[in-house]
Amino acid sequence: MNQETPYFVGIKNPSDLRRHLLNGAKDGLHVLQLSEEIKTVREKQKQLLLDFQKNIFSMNKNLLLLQKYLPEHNKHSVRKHLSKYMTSSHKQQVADVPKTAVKQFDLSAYPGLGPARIKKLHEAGIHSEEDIKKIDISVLSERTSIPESVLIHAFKSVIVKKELPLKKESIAKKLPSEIHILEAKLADIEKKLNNL
Amino acid sequence: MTIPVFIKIANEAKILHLLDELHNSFSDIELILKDLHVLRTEEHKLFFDLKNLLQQSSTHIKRVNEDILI
Repeated sequence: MNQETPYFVGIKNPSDLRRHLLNGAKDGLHVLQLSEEIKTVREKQKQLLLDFQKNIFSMNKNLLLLQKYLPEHNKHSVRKHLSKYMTSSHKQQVADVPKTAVKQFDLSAYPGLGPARIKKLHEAGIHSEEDIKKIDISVLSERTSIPESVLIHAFKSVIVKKELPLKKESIAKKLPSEIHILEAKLADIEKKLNNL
Repeated sequence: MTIPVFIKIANEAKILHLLDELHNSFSDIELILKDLHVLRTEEHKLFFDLKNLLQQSSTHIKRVNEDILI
């Protein structure tokens, strides 16, 4: 029989080693206990979540049934019903509501305009879309000290029909360059030479 | 401006019963959520204990290793 050769190690503090070994084993047991407790907690959580799901399902079911049993209504039928109880003054008030609640001009709906810029625009007399259409963007930029590019970006939808100020590049394209002028002069000279 | 609105309800008993059931479901859900909250805190505590215990255990094992290894 082949027996492994025994190997011995000298231990300085055997009692300490024994204590550490025992404590390690004790801790291991505690860990196992705790993990079991965690397992039970998880099981409880699972059960509760299942109950929660069941409750939600039953609520959905009950709500659908409730919707079924409650009388159907639409806007027209409600108005018709209300009109029976409305006096002439009430009707007037109801009729006035949409007029007063006509969508107010809200500058914050335009991109790139914060409260400070909106305040400046109000001070410059911008209270409606018509005001934007009437006023020149460059003038508005001077009055409000808001960069022209920001205003163009913000009011793109309003001033789309108006001619936007030409960019430098496009202006440069429209103006004849020096080469073109020289070419024209050269063509003239050539013509004269031909005539001679 | 206040206008009285009267709606004719045919199945009053059924509707009341459904509303009662809905109310019960809501209270059940409230209790479940409370329990879940308690369990969650308990779980957190257990995990914290476990972490401490594992740290302690690892120090013991380290000491044993130091004593045994040459």
